[in-house]
Amino acid sequence: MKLWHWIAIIALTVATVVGQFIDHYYWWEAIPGFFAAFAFIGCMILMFGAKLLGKILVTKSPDYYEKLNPPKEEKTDAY
Amino acid sequence: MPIELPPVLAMWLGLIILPLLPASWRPVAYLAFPLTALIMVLNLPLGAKLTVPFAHFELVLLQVTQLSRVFGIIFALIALLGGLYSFHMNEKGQQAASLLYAGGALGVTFCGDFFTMLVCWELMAAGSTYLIWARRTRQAQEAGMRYLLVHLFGGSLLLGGIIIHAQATGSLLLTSFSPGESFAAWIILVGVAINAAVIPLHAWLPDSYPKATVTGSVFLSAFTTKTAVYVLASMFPGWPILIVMGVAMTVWGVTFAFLANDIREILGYHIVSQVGYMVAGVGIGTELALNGTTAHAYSHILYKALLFMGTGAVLYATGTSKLNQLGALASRMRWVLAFYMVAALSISGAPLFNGFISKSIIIAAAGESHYYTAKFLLILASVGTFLSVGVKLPYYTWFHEKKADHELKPIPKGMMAAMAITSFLCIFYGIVPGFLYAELPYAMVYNPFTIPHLVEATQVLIFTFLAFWVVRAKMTPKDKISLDTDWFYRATAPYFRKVFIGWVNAFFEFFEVRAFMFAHFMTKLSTNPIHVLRTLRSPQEAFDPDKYRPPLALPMALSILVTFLVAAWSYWS
Repeated sequence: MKLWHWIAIIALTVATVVGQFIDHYYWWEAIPGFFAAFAFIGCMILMFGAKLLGKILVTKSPDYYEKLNPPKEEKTDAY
Repeated sequence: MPIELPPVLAMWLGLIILPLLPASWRPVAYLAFPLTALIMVLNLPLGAKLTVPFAHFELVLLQVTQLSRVFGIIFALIALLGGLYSFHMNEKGQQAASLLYAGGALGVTFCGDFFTMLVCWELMAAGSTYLIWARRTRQAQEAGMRYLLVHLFGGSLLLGGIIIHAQATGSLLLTSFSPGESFAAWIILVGVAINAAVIPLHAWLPDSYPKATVTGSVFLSAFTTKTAVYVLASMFPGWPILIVMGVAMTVWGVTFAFLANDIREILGYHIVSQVGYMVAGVGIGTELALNGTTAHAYSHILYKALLFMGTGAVLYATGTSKLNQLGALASRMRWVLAFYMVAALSISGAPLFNGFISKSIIIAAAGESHYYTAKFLLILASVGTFLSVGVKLPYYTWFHEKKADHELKPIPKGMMAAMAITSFLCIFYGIVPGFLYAELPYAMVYNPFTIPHLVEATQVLIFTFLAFWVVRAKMTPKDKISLDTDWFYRATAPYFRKVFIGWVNAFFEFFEVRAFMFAHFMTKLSTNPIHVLRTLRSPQEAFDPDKYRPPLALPMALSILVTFLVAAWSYWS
């Protein structure tokens, strides 16, 4: 990330907040930076929520299913 | 006078002709069939109909509505672009399977009765399974088998529902069901929901799509789920359960996508998530929502195919699709990155890309129908979409640090051309959405480029990026997999195999062994039946006629006795 990237991001954000004062449809759209906060907090919740879900339940090593159900070498008809 | 024939014929004609052509002609010839189908679709007048009698039913092979027209156009178009993308891949089987698959999708889109729909539905399952198996790895073989079994199960549910429906109503014609109308409608809904990857029936998708061939997954991403969305939109509009399921799909998809390590699996989960928007749109069921669903399916097919093309190009060039082995490719794959980012910004709903002009219709429709919780969850899913597809995936694939040395295979020109054209279309529809809006099933006055929409989209994108940037050090991908609902059938598979194969085998074996024992016993007894009858013991040696030959007096005595008895009986009577 170079300096001008940050400047562009800040400029765009300021422009959107100015836009909020010009026009809104629902009441929450008038709160300055509403969707900025929503996205930032929502994104944090998603990332750490997913991580937590992974940690307690779903994340496994890539050979999980092979270990659980080792492929048989013998010949079977049911394949 | 335009030719009013089902466009599927063009595809399936190719299926017959293509394998007979010399290898050098095939890639070019392949493009001719989707192109013909596209021209046929564009020239079909609304309301065109073709019926053939079948027993005492009428089969409607062609029925053109505004809804089927939009889906038909995009299906034919993406089959063409997919063909261009696989121009270098001159493999008869995959070319034929793609045509079978794409043709099936067109068949479902333009048919008007349940029987034709079911046939096309099952043929799609067959064609798509081949595209997974064609990768020719053990993982692909196993995932393809699971994919096929799940789809055959879904097809059986569909068939069951259709039989009950036809019994009850005496009609095979496609109809629109009102919410909770009948048992048959529910069964059909579940059968279709399997193909639409509605949770918890979605696990086949992220399981199999990453294991398909580079070119095959472009086709896979387009047809199966979107055909199901078409069927949902035409038969189940306004079913409230679909709102709940759709919204749940969007959030589930983005959550699991964030955990995935395979770049094509991330995209697979984002199909679940994006189809969730469409399913929710069908559930809301207003004209605006159904327009949103249709428009989003159209946009989605374009950008999702482009995403799979981009990640497919990475897999083609480097030989891996694992995030933990990629990185620092930006300077060596500049164009692929550019095309990929067009698709990533489209799926994330960035203004001036085609996701923005379609996703916002569904979100607006949710607000207009006062489903505010749904509306906010759909926006949250947008956050998750940009997080995984727009930031995390490109960051760890093209930027970050180098994790392994890759010798890059040069990317074929056909792949580049297909990506360039699809990118152009994503931007084109994003800037002039009127071309898409004009084709939608209902007339609407809708302008996506309002200040609140632009503000919402821009803030969401910027602050999603910032949130990731702040904590990126903790998010480095690791070589892990995530369990999903497929765990229930993959972990229990040994037990099912034991009950349905092992026990059945044991049962037959038990009786087979006994039958042979009995036969063996009888054979042994028959070697000397006289001995057995006299002694009731099993014979020690075989029957020898000389040993048991009776004296001559016995037959003589018997003859006299019989003569005497017969004479006595005749005299008596």
